[in-house]
Amino acid sequence: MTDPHVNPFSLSLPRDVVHNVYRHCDSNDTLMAFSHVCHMWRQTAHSFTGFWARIDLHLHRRDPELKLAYWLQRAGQRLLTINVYAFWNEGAFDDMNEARSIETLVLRIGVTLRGLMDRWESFHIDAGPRTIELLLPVCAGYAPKLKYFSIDAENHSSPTSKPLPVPLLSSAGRDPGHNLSVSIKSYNPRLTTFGNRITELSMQGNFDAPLSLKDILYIFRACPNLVSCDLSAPGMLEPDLVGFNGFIELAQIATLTISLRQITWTTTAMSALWSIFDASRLLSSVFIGDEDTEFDEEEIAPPFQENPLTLENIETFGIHWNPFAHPLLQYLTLPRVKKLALTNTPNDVVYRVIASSPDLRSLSLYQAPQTPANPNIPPISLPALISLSIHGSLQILDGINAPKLTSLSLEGDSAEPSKLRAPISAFFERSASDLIALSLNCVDTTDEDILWLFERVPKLEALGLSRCSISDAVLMRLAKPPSPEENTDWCLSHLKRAKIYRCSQITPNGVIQLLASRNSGPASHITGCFTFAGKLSKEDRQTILSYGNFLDPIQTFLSAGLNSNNDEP
Amino acid sequence: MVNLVTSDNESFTVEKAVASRSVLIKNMLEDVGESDQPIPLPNVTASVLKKVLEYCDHHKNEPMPTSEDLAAEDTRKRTTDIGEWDQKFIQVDQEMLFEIILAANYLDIKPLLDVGCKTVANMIKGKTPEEIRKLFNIVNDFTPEEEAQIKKENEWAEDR
Repeated sequence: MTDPHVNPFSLSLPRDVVHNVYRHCDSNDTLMAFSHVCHMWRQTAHSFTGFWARIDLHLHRRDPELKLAYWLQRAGQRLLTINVYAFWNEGAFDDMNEARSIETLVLRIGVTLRGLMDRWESFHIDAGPRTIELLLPVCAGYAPKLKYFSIDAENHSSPTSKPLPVPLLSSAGRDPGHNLSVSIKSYNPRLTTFGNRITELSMQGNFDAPLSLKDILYIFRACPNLVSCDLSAPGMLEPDLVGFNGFIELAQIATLTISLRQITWTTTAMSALWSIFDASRLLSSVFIGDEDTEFDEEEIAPPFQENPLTLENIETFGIHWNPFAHPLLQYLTLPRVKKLALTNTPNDVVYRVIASSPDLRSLSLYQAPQTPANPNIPPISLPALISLSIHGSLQILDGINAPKLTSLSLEGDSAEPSKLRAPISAFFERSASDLIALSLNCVDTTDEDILWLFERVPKLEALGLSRCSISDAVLMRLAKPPSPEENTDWCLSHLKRAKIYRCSQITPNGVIQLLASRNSGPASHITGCFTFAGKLSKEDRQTILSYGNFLDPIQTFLSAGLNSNNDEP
Repeated sequence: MVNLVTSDNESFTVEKAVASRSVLIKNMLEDVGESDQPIPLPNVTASVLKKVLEYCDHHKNEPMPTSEDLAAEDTRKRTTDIGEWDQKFIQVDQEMLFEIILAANYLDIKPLLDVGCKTVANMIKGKTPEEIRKLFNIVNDFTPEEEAQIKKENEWAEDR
């Protein structure tokens, strides 16, 4: 028989050490298992108030009220983390008897939770809108210790009937040092006076819970103490607001992200945004996106006919597919911006912004194909730029001088690949000497152009060529070993990683020759990945894999499938 | 150098930087000042102290956790990740593991205490109460009434 006294864990360890073990378990199930082992473990677990202060209430499981009472009895006077889950079919509300039983349960739980609001530290509800609309109104009152509040209706399909006020109250003004983080998914509540306390807000909508412009403006008005705000949702088409003067003041805001689809950026909306920029001196990061590219042709008259605004503290600024970007950017100066990402912005506007941004380190541009360059502008010097990514028209490179550039990514349009040589030869002559990483995607070029380019990037360590019109001649040049007689070194002697994807004239034989040459000795060993536009024979696949894991898993899978059907190329 | 004397009367002479990983010994050294007097450790045996000093020697150049670190850890979500060297170090039998934890608690070596507690937590995670009983040689001493209550608690945990 087992000797109960040989139980070093519970008999010899002090209670605070055992609690330390509990804290590291950090899982409800493990800690419940603790309390089911023996008397001593149960007593120790029951005295660990930290565990019982986190209450996961699954309303759809058995006896949630008993569980709540059981947990509260052991939580002492600790601040509470309350997570409410209701994974029942909201269609149950349509059955009168079932609805009555659910409503009774939710209301009783709500009344108990309301009595604990002075101890709420964190409150989360993951339920359908109808359950939320039952529970939340019961919890009207002040939760002074609340640091985190969250509503998640994402996994529940029932649409909300109308925006429901969050009935939590707030004292007037911002309580210094008290931060409240609020996260809301797929639900669109009214924040009322509770908004006054929110310092961090994240709202993710869906098509059941889109955000209208009016919603956004009222969110900003309700939350004047926001430090960080992230709004992401489908938008709603709507007329301009009447009776809204468009003035918003978010004096503490540092990070603002608005990512919407099909929002109507009306004059009022732009005035509101302008007023945020004008009044928010701490703003350091802005991203405003609209995924609907149909809107990019729309030009909205700027509502501001004022002097350009200088945003002194902005370090990160991004505008993605947004119709109002162009007029807005005409009026903004970003002297300290380090990271800038712009989509479909006319080259003259891009030049204007970057010309006044000497600290710029990372620039990402998504330009419409064949956007004309402005021939009258001399190259703008960007002395701090180390990373440049351009998608679409490459003409803009004519206007950029980046002597410290280390990473360059150029991606043409797949329907109309960008010509490489003409637009950027001058750029490479003046800017690419320190380049470490180069990626070319959908670029129409010749072997000669690429080899000319390789000569100008002697420090290159990472090379990516995807769907480019190059042939094995490029790989042969990379494979050519150094010759003491000719006093030559490897082409790209620092190359460590090569990724070559679906370049139509690159053959398995070219890759095999490259690997055989570069990876035969330790001096110039490269890693990388290759995929081919055509089929790959079993023999070629095996030969390439004999040098290492150089094949993309999809290529390996496809080749294996093809070969098993005896479909050799 | 510092002279430490264990409960079984064995002496260990170690660098001050190594001994001072223990907040208890560090405070004692600060209290007595420069002295050749041996420091008695009546709650630690020689075999355990040897292991503890091995840990302290390996980590002697790392910064000591500050009170802010400790306070922050209380609010942060804890993990059971253990460094590679620490994992090998703590691969000992169960008796030695609990002796090390006790010694780390007594000597106030918080990082070692955490390594020990995380190791025990990892041993327990995912196990049923019966498996835990087997692991630590524990007898189920619940009354039928308590068993009934436990059954109810399990119903709260089941996903239905």
